[in-house]
Amino acid sequence: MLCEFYARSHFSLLDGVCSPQDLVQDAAEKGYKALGLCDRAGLYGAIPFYQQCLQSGIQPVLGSTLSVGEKNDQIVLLARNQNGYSRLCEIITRARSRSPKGEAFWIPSDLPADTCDIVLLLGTPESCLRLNLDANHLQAARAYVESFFDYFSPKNIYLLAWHRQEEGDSTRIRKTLDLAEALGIGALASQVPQYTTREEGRTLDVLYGIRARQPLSEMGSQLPVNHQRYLKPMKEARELFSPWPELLHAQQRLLECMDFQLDTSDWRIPEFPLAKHETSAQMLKNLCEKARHRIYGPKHRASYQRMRQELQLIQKKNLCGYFLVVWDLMRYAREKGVRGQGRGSGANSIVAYLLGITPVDPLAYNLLFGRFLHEGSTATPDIDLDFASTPNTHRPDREDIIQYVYQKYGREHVAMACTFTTFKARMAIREAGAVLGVSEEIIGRMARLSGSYSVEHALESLKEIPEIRPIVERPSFEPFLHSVQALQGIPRHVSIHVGGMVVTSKPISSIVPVEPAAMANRTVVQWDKDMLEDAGLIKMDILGLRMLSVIEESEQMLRRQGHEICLNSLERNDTAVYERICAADTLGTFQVESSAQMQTLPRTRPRNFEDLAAQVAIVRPGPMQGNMMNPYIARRQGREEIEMMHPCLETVLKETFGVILYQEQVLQVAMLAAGFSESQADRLRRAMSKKRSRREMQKLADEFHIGAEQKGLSSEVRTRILNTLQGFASYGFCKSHALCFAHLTYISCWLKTYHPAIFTAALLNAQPMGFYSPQSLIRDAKAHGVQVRGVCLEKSGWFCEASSKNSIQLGLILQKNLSREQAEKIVQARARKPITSLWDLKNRTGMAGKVVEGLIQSGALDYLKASRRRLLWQLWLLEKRQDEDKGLKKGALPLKPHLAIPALPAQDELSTVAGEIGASGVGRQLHPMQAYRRRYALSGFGRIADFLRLPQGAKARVAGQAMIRQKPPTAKGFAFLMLEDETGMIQLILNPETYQRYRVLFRTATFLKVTGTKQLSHGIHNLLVQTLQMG
Amino acid sequence: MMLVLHIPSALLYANLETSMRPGVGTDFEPGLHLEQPAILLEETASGRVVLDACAEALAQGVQKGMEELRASLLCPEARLLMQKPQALQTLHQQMFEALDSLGPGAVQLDEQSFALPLEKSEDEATQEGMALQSLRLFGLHASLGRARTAFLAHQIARQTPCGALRSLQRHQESDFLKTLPLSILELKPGVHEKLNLSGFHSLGELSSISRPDLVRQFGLWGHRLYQLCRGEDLHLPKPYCMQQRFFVCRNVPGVEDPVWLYHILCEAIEDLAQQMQSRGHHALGLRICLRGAQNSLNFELRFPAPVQKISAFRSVLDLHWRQKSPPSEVLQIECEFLKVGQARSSQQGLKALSLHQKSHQKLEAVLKRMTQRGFDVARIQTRDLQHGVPEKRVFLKKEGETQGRSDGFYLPENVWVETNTEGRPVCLHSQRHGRRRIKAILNQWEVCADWWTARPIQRTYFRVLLSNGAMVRVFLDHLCEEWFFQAG
Repeated sequence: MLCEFYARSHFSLLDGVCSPQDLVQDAAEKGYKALGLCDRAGLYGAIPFYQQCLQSGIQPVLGSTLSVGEKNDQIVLLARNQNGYSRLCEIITRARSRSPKGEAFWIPSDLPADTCDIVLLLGTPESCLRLNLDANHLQAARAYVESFFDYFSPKNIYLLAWHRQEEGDSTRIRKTLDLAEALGIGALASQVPQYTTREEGRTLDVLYGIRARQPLSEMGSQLPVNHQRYLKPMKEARELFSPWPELLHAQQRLLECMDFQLDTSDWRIPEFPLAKHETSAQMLKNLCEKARHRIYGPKHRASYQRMRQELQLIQKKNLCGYFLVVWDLMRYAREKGVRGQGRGSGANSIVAYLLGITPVDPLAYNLLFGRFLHEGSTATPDIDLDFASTPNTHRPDREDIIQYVYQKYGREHVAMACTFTTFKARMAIREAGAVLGVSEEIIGRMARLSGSYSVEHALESLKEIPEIRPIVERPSFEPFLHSVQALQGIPRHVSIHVGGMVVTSKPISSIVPVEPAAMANRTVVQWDKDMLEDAGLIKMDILGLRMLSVIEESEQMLRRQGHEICLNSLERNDTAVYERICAADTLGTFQVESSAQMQTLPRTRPRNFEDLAAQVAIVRPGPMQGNMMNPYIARRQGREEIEMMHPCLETVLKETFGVILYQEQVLQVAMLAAGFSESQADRLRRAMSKKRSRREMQKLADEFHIGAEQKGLSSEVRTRILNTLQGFASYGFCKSHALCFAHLTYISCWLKTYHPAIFTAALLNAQPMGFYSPQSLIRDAKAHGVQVRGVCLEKSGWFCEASSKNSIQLGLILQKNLSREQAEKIVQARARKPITSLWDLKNRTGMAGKVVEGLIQSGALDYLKASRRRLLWQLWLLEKRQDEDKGLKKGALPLKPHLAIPALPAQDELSTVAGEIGASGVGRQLHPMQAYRRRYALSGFGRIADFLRLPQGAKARVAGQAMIRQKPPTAKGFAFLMLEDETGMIQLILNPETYQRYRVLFRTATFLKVTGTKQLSHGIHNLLVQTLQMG
Repeated sequence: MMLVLHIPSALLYANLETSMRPGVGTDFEPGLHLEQPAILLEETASGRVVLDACAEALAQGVQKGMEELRASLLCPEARLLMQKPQALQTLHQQMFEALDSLGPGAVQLDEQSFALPLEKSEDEATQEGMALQSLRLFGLHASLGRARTAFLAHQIARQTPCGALRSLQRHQESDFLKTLPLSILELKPGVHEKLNLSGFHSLGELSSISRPDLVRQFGLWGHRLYQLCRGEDLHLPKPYCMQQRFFVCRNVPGVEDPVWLYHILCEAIEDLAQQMQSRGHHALGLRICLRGAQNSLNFELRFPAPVQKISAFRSVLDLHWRQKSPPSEVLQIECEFLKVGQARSSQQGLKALSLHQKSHQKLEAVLKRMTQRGFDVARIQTRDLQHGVPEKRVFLKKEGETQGRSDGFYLPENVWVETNTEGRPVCLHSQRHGRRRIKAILNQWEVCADWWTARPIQRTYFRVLLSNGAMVRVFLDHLCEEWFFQAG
């Protein structure tokens, strides 16, 4: 047994358990020379498989298992060489383009004219051939195989003789061999491995149950008979196939004619269309030079040197075309009125700044180009782009940019990256529980309480819950728990990446299979962003950022109100803006609106743009895990002495008080402390990031120690620096990215300070976004003196609009169940003649009863001067009458009916607000808490405004509406909840014990009565919870 | 005039408990009721769970099927009682006999309430009501009410707190109804929603609307609403007491291995048991019929207590499997669950076996699913109380005759097998063949199934050629490390 040609990994999506890497490593350990990966309907695992094969010294064979037509039949196609691989990609692409999601129905016309580089394997366990052989229909089996002779040369057709230690395997192998001999074709031994150890057979059973959406107890014969679908050690495998040595000889023969090597050298980004006699380098240089003159002036030496240096490297790395492609995108976006800007490490480049891709001057903020690109870069750099995103509003936005890329470079050269949704704690609990017959109640409770993405963490936390522990510890639960753990990380399904796009010079379907996306006019490649990067393909991230649409819309509203302001050009030094930020009055703004940000703002007190960037970067998991947030704040406040880990780091860490805040600093520290080159430092950063490799990390750590020792750093300091770097590197921002975001933060804070009505209206139009509900945004706007007029059918347009400097007219966009087309019908109808009655509205717009019901409940028809209940009663009578009128003769007009309405009970405040919230998400006059206020006041629970007046340490009793619940993994068991009422918002803090006691209420209750102790620090009012009660 | 008898089962047990163990609670006296809420528990594989609970406990969030710990946390003042099925059966029997003595026509309103129509004057009815209290002689504590319509009777039964005796005079009806929420009316969702949005939340509020207004808005439903909110009911609720017997008939052609036959059987049992459990019903017995070409084998398994655990069914099945000789050719399997207190001849007894109407829909869904999974075409026959003996019978039979292959069916027989150093069999000792050397292993395969259950299967099978020329099949059961001879 030399090799195995037909293995399936977890990229067969619910038809395999192990990753391609695990399969390869297992095969190498067991002494196999070659391994073929033939996942279902795709080549999702091709790149990690190929890389691992090279690393493990195994010959890779790539193929795919396809369904034949829509029959219950399968074939396997293997690529003999690079050409075969490209043809295979094209075949899969064609098959996927016409098949339902997740399937690849192959038909003969999918084949290229020449199939000499493709090997066909017939007789998989799910094939017609197997059925015919099992049923002893030998003539039919022969005819079946012969039907493929029209498309493939017999020397490229092999029959699979597989053995999974099931009853009947031996008989079938004998028949397979006889058939192969009769037809003069080869037969290959196979174990059809889908996992690496017998124990993983259980996981495959569970995956089959999930795929069939059936409990295992109902699966019957759909489940594997045994758990033998793993690669046997070489000795066992030889013994298994010892009665049929010819099978092994055929393997050897096939292997000898396989010559597959993945050559990625010609997978490039397409050339940017240029004028005659112009090169992309020249064009890039011209564009940059022109912009440099405009921005810095022709005699600005530093900008010239930096630009020249960058352009040289960009040209050397053959990235000029890439920059031009991105520049072209930004140009098109500006043309179409789609606000956009670059983010991430790309903003370290002055070229990107000059091309208008990024908004931050790298010279002004001393940004390190090496973080983006350096001489020793092996990975392809990418520039992430944010564009305004306003789906369902018919405004130009990110989708237009994506479609522009498709049009510009051709659909055959462009596709989106895919992403694999893998099993995490909740999904694993729910799905494994369902197939293993765990009661729905227990599954639901466990999933709700797991509260974590990591399965191990979820199961541990479940064991801490008293009512769950006895269940989890039952022996009968062992299979369930085992399955939940085993499912972790296995891909569940494929979806489209939020914005990753890949553009190639040659047709993309010859590089990687492409499949249609669920979204119209989009296609997806079968590789995710990491795989694309590993394959050397350049990817662009075209992401949606709703704050950009808010800013764009605010600018337009300002213009309509007569203010010609370019928000991108604001001076970032307005004291009033920073005062507002320091007071944590930032609800609705970008990046600094979360409760964690609001808690730190009064302590860090940012006073300039760089402070703001540091603020954006500090409240992140990286600095928190690296225990840098508190030292930073203490040193900034002057409560702690600034301490450098070593004096040589002072130049780099001075601006952040000796604390590492940015990824650039990681590189600079490594370079200064250990004398690393840019390339070495970047390798260190990458090894410490999410794609960490222990071996690579160890190697670089050794190099760091040697380098630092030579620089005279003691062992203790070296270890401390390395640990600090390691603690930080995984989730920190790079400075350029923080500055790009801070740019938007500043603009949003400026708008909130000077034009709160406009800013709130734009925020409401861009919902859903940010942390807060429309209800909270409106309450906050009112607190800032903005007058908010409710949705009104007489006055509202589709969008919310700032009708004056300090008032907002809410738009029909907030109305649930109302489409834009329906809203436009209303606006058109009322433009012709005012709508004066319910009958008028129904008759002229033909709107469905449910929609009108919503309009009545939200108060949009209050101008008709009738009670909402009377209107509803009238509406239902009208609808009934309309049904009766359907019998009218064609052309006859329905008469306005006379409708008698009985006396109906008057509507109380609570049902009024509930109706409004249900229909439009916002209370028209009252906050929901106001309707409950009397009841709470009677039981001694006060308002948030009263709470704010209490001194530090006072006992408090407050009632409010729970808005945001958070239990960050970095908070050591503490949980936080934002409580809002008509007078304000405060943060509740639950210590671990209190959280355990009230976790159900914490997660589920809407209205809460809280008792606790007031905590007041730097003007921030928090309530340390003692008891929680349902409101 | 109707008398309403409300018998919460939790209270029934509470009284049983107090009467049997006077030291535990207050001494039981007729007319007195237990002061504490009662929660009735049953023992299951997963520990003690709530079988039933009185209204007070239910109002505090206790639910049927809930674990004991959680129930006691939600209702800490409750008395937790373990069920005593034997005593319950006796009590049921006594109760039905007592009800029989009151005359025919009693209507079961829900699982805990009965309405007894009395064509008598109020005074006479009151006397009858007093007579009904004699039921307490059996240790039963019932609530009594009086109503003119079945609807009103139903509402009284729902509203009556455990153990309270309630006598409702005619002039009190409107006050009684006024406070009842609209949710007690079984209305179409649309009607309910409209009434709520219009501000009507109770029957009293609704009664302020005139009949024409209601009819204009709700059509025929308007008439019904008008009457219901005044305690009158044009449409008496249909009794839905049914006996439920499940039959699963499954053709089994193509089965090569008796092990699989056993599995099919177990699967059928599990299906039915799970369906029954999900509705809170418990089988007390199981009848299995293996129909062969020439003969049939009937297992009649009866249990002294309600059985929830599938494994219990299985272990008894195993016992019978080994003790009895099944037919040599099995063509069809039938399973029938025998339900609590099955009493085909007594109408009153059948009431105790009643299922909620929902069970009918659920059963249909189950049948649909079973049909999808390869069971044969389903046909349901249902007859309710009004048409004689109530019965819900499910036949699952293939349309037309199946000319399938019939297979031999044998039990595995424990044998002694000598193995070589690699663990492969070399010699077989059995009653049937004596000591035989194994000349060749013709085939070898593995079976691994049911790993998620309490009885997993992990076996290695060998088809071997014995020295006397016989070809036999043996397997090694990896869980008990024993060899078995498998005929067939």
